[in-house]
Amino acid sequence: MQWITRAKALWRLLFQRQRVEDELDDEVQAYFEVLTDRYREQGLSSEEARRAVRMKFEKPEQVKEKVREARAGALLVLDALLKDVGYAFRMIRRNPGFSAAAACSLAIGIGATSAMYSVTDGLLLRPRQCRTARRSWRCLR
Amino acid sequence: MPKQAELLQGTLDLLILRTLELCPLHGVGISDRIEQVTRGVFVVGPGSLFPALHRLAEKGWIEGQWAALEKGRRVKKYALTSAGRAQLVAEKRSWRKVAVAMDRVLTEEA
Repeated sequence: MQWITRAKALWRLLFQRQRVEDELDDEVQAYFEVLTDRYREQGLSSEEARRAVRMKFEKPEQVKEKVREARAGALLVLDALLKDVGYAFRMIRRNPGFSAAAACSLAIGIGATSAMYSVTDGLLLRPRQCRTARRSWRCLR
Repeated sequence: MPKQAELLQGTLDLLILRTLELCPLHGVGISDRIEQVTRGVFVVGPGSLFPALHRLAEKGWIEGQWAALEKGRRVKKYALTSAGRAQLVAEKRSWRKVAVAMDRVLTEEA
């Protein structure tokens, strides 16, 4: 059932980005608060405790960035793909005339090419179905 | 303080899985436990701990759950899943293999 867990994680990363981000923020925040509490219990003031934690450990923002990087992997590819698709649709909407012209020229190009190929294939490439030259005019008709 | 040993690739995952085998822990708890048990040889800072935790959670080997701490603090505690338990057994075995092999190389008579 492991792929279900992975699929769920991927889904959450893609479509519940804000929630994932908030939760990571809470989690890292909590970690640093526990550490700060510990210094405070040793008799430091809140400010001193916070400074001590800042000196000794990486900054929360760096930690979060590293987590994001670790999670990326295959996701990055998917993410880039989704972004490209989104970009494409935005461009089509912004420039409908140009998009229509591009689509038309593609359609005409593909149509003309496949028509030419069908004719060439049918007339020149396939072996004719008759054996003698005499009967060949019938084949061609 | 003794000089910290560098963590081999993949060692951190095994350390975390093994630590969570005993009981669910939050981030600071995991760092503390690893430091205690290895007597300060391995010190796992948040910058390596959190990426590893999230990687393991994504693989479905551990699971995070918010829990209340004293003084009203909320922390995310991680526990081993059954898939994680299976993974731990496999990783323990392969680690022992590596350790035995390295030991043989190091103690080989010339």
